[in-house]
Amino acid sequence: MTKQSVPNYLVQAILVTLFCCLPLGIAAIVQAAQVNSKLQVGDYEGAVLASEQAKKYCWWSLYAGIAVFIIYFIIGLVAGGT
Amino acid sequence: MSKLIKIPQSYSEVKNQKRWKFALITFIIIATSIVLFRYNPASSELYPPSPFRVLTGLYCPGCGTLRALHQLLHGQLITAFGLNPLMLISLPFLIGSYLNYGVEAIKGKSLWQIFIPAKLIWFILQVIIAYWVVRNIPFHPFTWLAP
Repeated sequence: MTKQSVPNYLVQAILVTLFCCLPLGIAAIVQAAQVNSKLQVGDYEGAVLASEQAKKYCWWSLYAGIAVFIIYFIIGLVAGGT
Repeated sequence: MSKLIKIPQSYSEVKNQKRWKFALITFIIIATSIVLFRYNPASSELYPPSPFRVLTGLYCPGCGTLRALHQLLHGQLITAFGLNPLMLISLPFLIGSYLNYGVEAIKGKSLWQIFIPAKLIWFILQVIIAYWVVRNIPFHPFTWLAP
């Protein structure tokens, strides 16, 4: 197994931190670091698990961002209608 | 460890998937750029506020990103840098990884393969957290980092 074969989702993690603006993005960066830490010591299984965690945090951060957008939109509609 | 077992996919299947993803990402970037170019986040009510800012009244590392991108699309590099310097510094790396992904999706071979040492990722994290804190210090020169 090559080192590159386990994705660490660092780019996605930075993107959700910048755009979704939530601590979940930070958690994703922590997991991204864990992936590469574990690969460096040869812990392939640990790296795969950390990779899955990183992916999960990125998605949840994105969902949270979208949820905030929808809530904002609904509030805007309600406030605009009255 | 059943979680580690992945269903094997054919090479062309993976390649197709990557092409679709790349097309989707490109579409999102173009659509967002058009909206951001036309409507200034500083004055438009189209964009949602930062949830962290609404809840705490503090700035986060992402605050000013949309306003900065709007300024950047209008060629105002210095104004954009003033709104979110860290975002502007990270932008070339993000664009690089986007291009790399695109070339890999189309040609099947990436431009480069970099293994980022874990230490560097921890360092990036420390920079982001320090930036988060320092942006909120309410006097000069730290106010320069606030959006």
